[in-house]
Amino acid sequence: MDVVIENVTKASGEDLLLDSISFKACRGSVFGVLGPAQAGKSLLIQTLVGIAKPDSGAITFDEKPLNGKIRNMIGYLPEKRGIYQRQKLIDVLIYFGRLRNLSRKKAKIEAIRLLDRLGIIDSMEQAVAHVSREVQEKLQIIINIIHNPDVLILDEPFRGLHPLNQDMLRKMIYRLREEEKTIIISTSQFNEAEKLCDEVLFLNQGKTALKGNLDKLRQKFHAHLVSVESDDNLASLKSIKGVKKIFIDKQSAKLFVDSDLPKNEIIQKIISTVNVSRIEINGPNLADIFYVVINSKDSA
Amino acid sequence: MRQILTISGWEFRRYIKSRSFLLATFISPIILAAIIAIPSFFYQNSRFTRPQTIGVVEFDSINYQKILSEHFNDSLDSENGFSEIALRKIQADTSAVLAGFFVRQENLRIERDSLDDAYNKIKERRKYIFQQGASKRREQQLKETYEELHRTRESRDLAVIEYNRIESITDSIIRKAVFDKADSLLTAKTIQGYIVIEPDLFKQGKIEFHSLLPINFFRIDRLKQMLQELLVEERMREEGITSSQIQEWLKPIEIQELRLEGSQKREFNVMLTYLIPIIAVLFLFISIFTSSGYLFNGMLAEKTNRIIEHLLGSVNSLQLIFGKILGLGILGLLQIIVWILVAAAAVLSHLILQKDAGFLTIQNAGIFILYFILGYLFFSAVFIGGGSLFSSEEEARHFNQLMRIVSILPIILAILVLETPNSLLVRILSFIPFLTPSFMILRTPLGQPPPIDYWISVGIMIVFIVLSLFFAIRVFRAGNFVHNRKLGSRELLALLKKG
Repeated sequence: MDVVIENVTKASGEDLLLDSISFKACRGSVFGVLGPAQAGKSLLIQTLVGIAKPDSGAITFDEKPLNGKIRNMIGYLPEKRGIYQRQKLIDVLIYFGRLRNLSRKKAKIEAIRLLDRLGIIDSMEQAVAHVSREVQEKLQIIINIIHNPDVLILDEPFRGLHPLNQDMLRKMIYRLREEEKTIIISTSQFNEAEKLCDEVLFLNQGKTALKGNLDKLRQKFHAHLVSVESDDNLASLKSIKGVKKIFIDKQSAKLFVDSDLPKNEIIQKIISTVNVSRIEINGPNLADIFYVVINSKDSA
Repeated sequence: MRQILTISGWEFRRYIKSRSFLLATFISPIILAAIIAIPSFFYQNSRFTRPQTIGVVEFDSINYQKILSEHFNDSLDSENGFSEIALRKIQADTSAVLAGFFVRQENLRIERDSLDDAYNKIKERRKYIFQQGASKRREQQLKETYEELHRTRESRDLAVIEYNRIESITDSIIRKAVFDKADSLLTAKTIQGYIVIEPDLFKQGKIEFHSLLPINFFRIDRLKQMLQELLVEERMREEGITSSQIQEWLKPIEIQELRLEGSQKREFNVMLTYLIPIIAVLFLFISIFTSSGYLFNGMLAEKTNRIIEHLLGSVNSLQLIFGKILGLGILGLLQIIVWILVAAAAVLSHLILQKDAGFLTIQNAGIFILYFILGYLFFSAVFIGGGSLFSSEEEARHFNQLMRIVSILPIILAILVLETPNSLLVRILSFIPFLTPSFMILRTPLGQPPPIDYWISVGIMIVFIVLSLFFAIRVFRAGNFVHNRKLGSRELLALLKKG
């Protein structure tokens, strides 16, 4: 199912929380909504699943607006999540399965199947409060896939997750992508997004800072980042022609250099300025790209 | 609709097994009944009620204490069969203090009587002398006896004055001693109070009552009634009416209270007629506040524990709210049906007499259920709206306290309904949604309100339920964006406008 967001805007009083956001998440791909805290990622996700209503703009799922039927094709894992504590795992899963329009029998079968697949079948008759946090996290993931959704929307899915569960979730996302599901992930963990996402949208203060295919973005920003380590004063690198930004952390620096300059020339200039112990020109990671984008006037 | 039924089923199952529901359904009514019944039982049963001892201070030989005690004993057979008040005459032993005064007073009395006797004798002698023929001797004797008479009279008058003075002193000493004695008994809590009967004042209908603490007014009222009877008896006796006539005339009136029910008239129990509607209102509020309280706490907990987003990812706000209202409403109805069945069982097993249970009709049960549904829906909407403003139980505490006051308000105002169930004020108050369910339940057995009042109250409740649900859903939607802080009024208004 293709998910399309067109010019979605939402304000609170004078504050523009989401400013004309548009993107398309296609089936069989993972779309990442990235940005720092308070960028508007969770609000965008809440708007996607119908918890929040946009002031303007449109959200469609295979060209249809959100309705009860489509809602049952979406799985949504919220950022801040909790679950009933006194009830048994199996009862909670059957309840959420029923809410997703499954029959009681089907909900129970699916619940048992997923509990078994995630290795927590032995806990199914236990009250949620009596199982470990790891099991509770798995339970919350199952809640959102019990109905085999076509669209899976995950808001900060890795935050606070047990490392073993993080790996399990990653594998699950890969598998769902193979199954032609549409996956939208909102995260501030750029390294995770880099591993998972096909397309990304950078949000900053409710505005689109950058969006596009991850590989293309990497290519676009590849030649700009130079990592330098030296015992000398790295601040002197600022004077090198073509250095647009410099990021100094103790004895290391990241230089964002004009893409028109040849690599060899940059390296020569750096070596002639400071006594270099290590120099490297890498493809920038997502965090680097985001940094460039939000500090660059001609971004996006 | 399927989702609504799923949510209602979940909520129903979630709370029906909870200890708090079992407590509210079975234990709270027992506690409530015990709170009402136990004091009444103790009050009515002499084995548990110690009569309060009231002292009687009197300075006359009539012995009011004895007469009053006889009155109390006479009234026992027709009343509760035990004496609520024991009367004790307050007497003080002043013999030691007054011994000297008594001797002096006795001597003075003898002297006064002797002088009086002498005075009379002189007068007799003078009369005899006066009857003799006129002579110089007679004149002489009259002159001498006159002087003697004058001296004797002076001496006698002096003795009388002194006698009265001593008598006044002894009276004062006796009064003081009696009052001291009464006060000491009062301080020692041997008596709970004492009445002072001054004959002259009593004839004017005035009595003093001394006590340390306010005495049970039911009992003092009984004493007042007895004193009134005593006074009337005395006045009647002074008018020459015989004791048998007085007793006949003062025989208490027995009122047989009959109530018109359709074409029939039935005897009814006044106490139960007033008590049962109040109990019904308390039960109504237990039920409404149990169910809507679950709704409030449940939604707040789901918000605090972040379950709400899982739910709203699965269903929309309307489905969630209506599902919860339906499920917990059925839970409240079940609670009421249990109580109605218990009441019916109590009647069938003669624990409650059929004649005292005239109010337990199918029609009244229907009215009770109708106003439960209306009250529950209204308070649910208020709780949903109120609860959505807060994101933690800590913040919602003040709102909860406010709602508790609201829940007590109808009980406080119930006195208005008990006095005049169909007065204009009560009718107006019956149309205020917060009071409507309780006031109409109170009025039904007491005043049989006109049908128009039912129609108006139901109409008003429906309008307010729709309005409050409309706003509650909007506030709920708005409140979902707020975590770890209170929703500000400006922010709320802006979100309400957007819907």
